[in-house]
Amino acid sequence: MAASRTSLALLALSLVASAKVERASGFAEGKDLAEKAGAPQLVLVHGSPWQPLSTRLLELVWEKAALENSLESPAVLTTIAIAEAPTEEEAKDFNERHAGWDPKSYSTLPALQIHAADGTRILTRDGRELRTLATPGEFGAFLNDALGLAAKRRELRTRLEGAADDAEALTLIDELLQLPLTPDADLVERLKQLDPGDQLGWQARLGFKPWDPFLREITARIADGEAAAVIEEMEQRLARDHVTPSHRALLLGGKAMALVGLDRGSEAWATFGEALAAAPEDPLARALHRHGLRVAGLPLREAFPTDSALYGREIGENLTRDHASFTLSSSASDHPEHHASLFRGPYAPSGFAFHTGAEKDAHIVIDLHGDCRLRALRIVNRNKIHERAATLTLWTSVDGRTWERHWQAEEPAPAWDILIDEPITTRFLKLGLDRDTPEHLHLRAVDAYGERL
Amino acid sequence: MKLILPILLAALTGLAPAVPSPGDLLEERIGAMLEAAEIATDSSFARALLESPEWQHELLDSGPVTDPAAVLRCLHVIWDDDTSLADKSVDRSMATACALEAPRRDMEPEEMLARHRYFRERHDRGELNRMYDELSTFDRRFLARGVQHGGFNSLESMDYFVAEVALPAPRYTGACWYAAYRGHNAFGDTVQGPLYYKPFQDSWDSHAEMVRQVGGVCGSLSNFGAAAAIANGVPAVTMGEPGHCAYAVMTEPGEWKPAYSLSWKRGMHTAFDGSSWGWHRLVTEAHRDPAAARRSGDLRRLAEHQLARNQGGEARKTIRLARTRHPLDWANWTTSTRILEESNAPDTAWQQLHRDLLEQLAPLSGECAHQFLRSTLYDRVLPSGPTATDARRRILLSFHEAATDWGLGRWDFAGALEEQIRRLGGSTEEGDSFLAEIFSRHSTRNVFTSEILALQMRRTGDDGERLKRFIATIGRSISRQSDKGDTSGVIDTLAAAILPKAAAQGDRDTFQFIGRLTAENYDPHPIEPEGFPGMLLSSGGTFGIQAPGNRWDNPARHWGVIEEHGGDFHTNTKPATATVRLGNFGRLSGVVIVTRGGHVGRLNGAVLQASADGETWSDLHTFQNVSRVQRIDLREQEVDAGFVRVIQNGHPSLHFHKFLVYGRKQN
Repeated sequence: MAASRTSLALLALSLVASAKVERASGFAEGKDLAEKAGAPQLVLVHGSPWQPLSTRLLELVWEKAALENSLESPAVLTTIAIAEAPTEEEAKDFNERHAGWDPKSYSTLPALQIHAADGTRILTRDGRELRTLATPGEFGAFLNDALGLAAKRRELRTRLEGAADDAEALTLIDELLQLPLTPDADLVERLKQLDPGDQLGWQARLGFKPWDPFLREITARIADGEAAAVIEEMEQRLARDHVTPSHRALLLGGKAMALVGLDRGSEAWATFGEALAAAPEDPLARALHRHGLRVAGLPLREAFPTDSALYGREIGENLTRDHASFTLSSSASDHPEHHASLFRGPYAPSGFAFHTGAEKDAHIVIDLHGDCRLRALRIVNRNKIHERAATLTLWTSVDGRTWERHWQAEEPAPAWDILIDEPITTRFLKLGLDRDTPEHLHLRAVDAYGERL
Repeated sequence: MKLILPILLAALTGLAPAVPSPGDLLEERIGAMLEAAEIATDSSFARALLESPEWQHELLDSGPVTDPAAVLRCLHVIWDDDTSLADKSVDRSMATACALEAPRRDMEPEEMLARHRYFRERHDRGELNRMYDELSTFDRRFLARGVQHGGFNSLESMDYFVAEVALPAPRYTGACWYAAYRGHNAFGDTVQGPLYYKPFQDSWDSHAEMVRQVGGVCGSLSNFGAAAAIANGVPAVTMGEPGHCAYAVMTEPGEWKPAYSLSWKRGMHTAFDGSSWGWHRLVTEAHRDPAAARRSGDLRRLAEHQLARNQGGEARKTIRLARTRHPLDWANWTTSTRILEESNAPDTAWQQLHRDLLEQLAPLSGECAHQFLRSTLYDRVLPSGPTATDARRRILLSFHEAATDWGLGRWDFAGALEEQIRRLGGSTEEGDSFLAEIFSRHSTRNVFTSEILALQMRRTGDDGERLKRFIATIGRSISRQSDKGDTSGVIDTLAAAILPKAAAQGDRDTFQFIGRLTAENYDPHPIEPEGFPGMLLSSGGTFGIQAPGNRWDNPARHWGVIEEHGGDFHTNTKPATATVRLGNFGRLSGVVIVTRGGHVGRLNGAVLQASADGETWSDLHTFQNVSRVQRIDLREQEVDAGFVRVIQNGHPSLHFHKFLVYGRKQN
């Protein structure tokens, strides 16, 4: 008796298991079956027989009973084989068998597409993402997740059709859009009517332009003299819109670009930094930051080139930009009006911030106007005649009289990045030439970094 | 030792030495390469190579071997990574291809090893197109070499392509469009400068993904398309065209298809003996049958062996066998030259070489045959001096008996004619007469007539009378015109014959050259509807219908249909199609059609379509309630196209005076 009950149970189970999943010979048939069953159609688009990977996927996973048995809810399984050089007859058969399927809907093969019972394509997995599903178990797990989402979508859409009022409809649309599925186009339209003020933020999110046209338009508007208007718009959208971190990065980036357009470089550089912070792993946030580095950070000397040894290092604040002064050992061909450029702003047009005479001990002394802990320096050579600075040497002093030597250039260079292993407590820096014969000293920029004590 | 004994025996006995076997000659050559590479012949690698005639053939008969020592050193490094290579035909063949390409690409063996590993591992995982299994070693050289833009050859880029752009082989001709055509990046930096990709360089994991996201222009797009094919095991190559970068894909074994291509004037970025499209076709055809390539190599090695042993007569006979049996193998022709020179061959041998060239190679490739004539044979076979003009004329004309069509690909035929006229010498009239006779010889097949006409027009310059005499002369050869030489009739006759064929072949240059001549023969059409933003993309292209020249149609008026001048056509079969191959690829803004005055309603139900490649079409607009002038705005559809057509399934008749396509150029 127990044995027969067990047999009956197994028989029932197998009947249930075999009934829940159907296989269709083509998309058209699958669509019909899916609609009747109220179940999603799971479509494997594959390259046969020209793509061995596809053939293996079919044989080892897709066509196995194990996959069917692993599915926890009803579904229709369909395969679409993309041939390499179909005959006219084969092409005609293909078009008939898969009527209703969009042949432009894949960009690489194999591709897994989930179509809801109403025929809408709601999810695609292909490329590297699909290739991570190597076993029937992994495939089944992914499909069950997708079936769960499809079922949830169906449930929400059914409730939406019977929604009592606009408030309930809006709540249901909000839930639908939160599903990790391709948003249904009709929902976006309904949102505009139900939530004209975009309180939920979906319109902003879904209506956000792709990054290229978004930034391209900002570039054009800045070129047309609309930078101030761009800043205003970006600030409004940042305050008002419920956007994703990536979108936030784009809005901040757009604002930063406009600030550059208005010559507000420091603010721009800070805003580019905010853009990166909004979405540090986002490719476009990183691209905006690198663009900002070129148009704001580097010209202002508030950032380092990416190939600098100081890039990305914790080296403290800029000690020279706002607080330092310097004296020269002598001057020749010098332009005092360019002296400020040694520490801040764009480089002097002459190619150097100062120019000593030719002497054995040509140097400058920089006064930091307070004790500091020195961690790093970036020294930019004159734009030419680099070799004159071949023996450039750094000394430090707390009192301006007793000097300790810390660094010397190994060879002439356009710039030197000096990372100091053990921070040096100092107030004065002396940069000069250490040689036996007279020579001129001329540099374009000196930036010292560390902490003020 | 194996090869010396027969000679010693012959010397002792007085009998002729036995001919060494192909296997012996292979080993002899490989042995020399091993010595040059300083690899001991008793090393495991050398033994594996020497024990495998199959491998030896792959190494020696898969195209030119540049720097044999470097090739072997690279092969050794790859073999070291997998010493069972010799027994795995696909991996071995790919390794050999990699080694052959390494010195040509200045790649270190370790770099090429990484590339070989990529293909080996992806093949094992089933990720490559099945075509990869059957490729010859020669074909694999295109995979080994990669594309012109190095960023796409990185392993990261190849990993990206094999996962994200895995397509049937024929579809790689459209893969370039995965990236958008953008002349400036979103920050306004031009693609012509160093800043275009700079902000994006570390944003994605590979150069390939970056280009797909950011876009580019023809160079990036073509390299993207070709590299995608290569990463998936499908041979492809980038190529330069005037002001443009295109590419070509092996869409099925032995068949190469140009992609994103605007011109026949192509310089291949992976090339062997010559870099034009015709040369590419020659070398790929020569290796389409690897067994034949091996037989050709065997004969050549035998001939070289005989020459080395002062058996000049035997060497000449053997190399003649090689070139007549395997005329596509360019090495047989260059080796013939060397053997004839080094064996002090008599004039008759050079004349035989000339005859063989005309009989065997010229019908297949006039371009390559002419290259050989120009560089080698003319100096040997053309008599010199003012009294030998007639003799030179006969010899020069014999080329035109042999090369009667484009062969393996369109080439600089006009350049060849100029060379011939220079070699002919003599007076200007003799030159004109020579050209007229060439025109006459080619007029039946009508392949080169427009080239000849264009050349003569350049030679005559402003001398209208001289040109008229020429056209009258050639007119008599193609029609029964009067002695006054009715040039308009000749031009119309030429056009009616040439334009449909040029359109069918996508031959823009011929279509446009002859078409512009016809513009003098009829008035511009008076209806001038407003265009659309951008340029007239159809201008400079080709236009065709099925069954041109039917009882209602005059092909001599086809050119004007796609130009502002206006023209005429009339189809007569169902489905009726009128197809424009655009002068420039473009983002379409609109189409303007001016139909004939009568039966305007025949356009109802017809469909306007666009295509990137002339094979896969998308519907843009269905004509309904039509009037004589149709303006179809396409701006919102964001269509990129190289071809536009109207197709009428319901009626055999379409007839327009104008079919103008407007938009923004994307090449």
